[in-house]
Amino acid sequence: MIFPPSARKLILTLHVVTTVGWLGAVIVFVALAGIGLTASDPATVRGAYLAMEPAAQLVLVPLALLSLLTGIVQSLGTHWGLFRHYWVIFKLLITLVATGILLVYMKTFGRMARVAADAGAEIGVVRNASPALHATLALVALLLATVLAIYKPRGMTRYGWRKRHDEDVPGGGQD
Amino acid sequence: MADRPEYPGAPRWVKVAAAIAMVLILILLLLLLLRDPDGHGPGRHLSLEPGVEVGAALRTG
Repeated sequence: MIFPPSARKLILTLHVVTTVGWLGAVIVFVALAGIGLTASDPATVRGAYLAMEPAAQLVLVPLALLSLLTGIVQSLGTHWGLFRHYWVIFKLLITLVATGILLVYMKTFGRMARVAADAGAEIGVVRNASPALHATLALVALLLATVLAIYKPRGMTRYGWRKRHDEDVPGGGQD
Repeated sequence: MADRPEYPGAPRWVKVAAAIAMVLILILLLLLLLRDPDGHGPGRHLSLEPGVEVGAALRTG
């Protein structure tokens, strides 16, 4: 089903806002992770790891899920489809994998926050390189998805090819 | 009714990207197998356990 132009613009706006918001939030996490690893003030180090869990719950997870949802709705409501073009499939896979890893990683955020909240834990124990690695990889993945969305490299799947030519036939290829 | 033209196949960028993705997945799986002899999940070594100092973890690998 192809959405009318007003609905397409609304969904596209929501998708761009949530996806770019997610990208921006990941950049903030790269900064937080860097602060946690390099700051000399123990309170700042603990604060960085304490802030990650609620920030991820309140910002990263909702934006990731909304980006995924609006992306799927957007593709199904336009001629691009979800499985017709390779760039859409790649972008979907990147978003699915990044969201899945984020959801699994929430436990690690919780563990790091508990260690940071423990006043008896030494600062060397509080510091953790894992968020820097994960946030950097997430940033690369989301930048790649953004490039795909903007450049839309050519290439139809076999399914997309068949649907397009069936739709050229009068009465054929109803989704 | 006109015949459907033959499918031209996936473009080169798709094949290259798929190959890179496969290599990355393979490397990740190898890392998981090599670093995880006890059969724990990826969270065990992709994140440090509480009480493991960063420097100590890097030294011991």
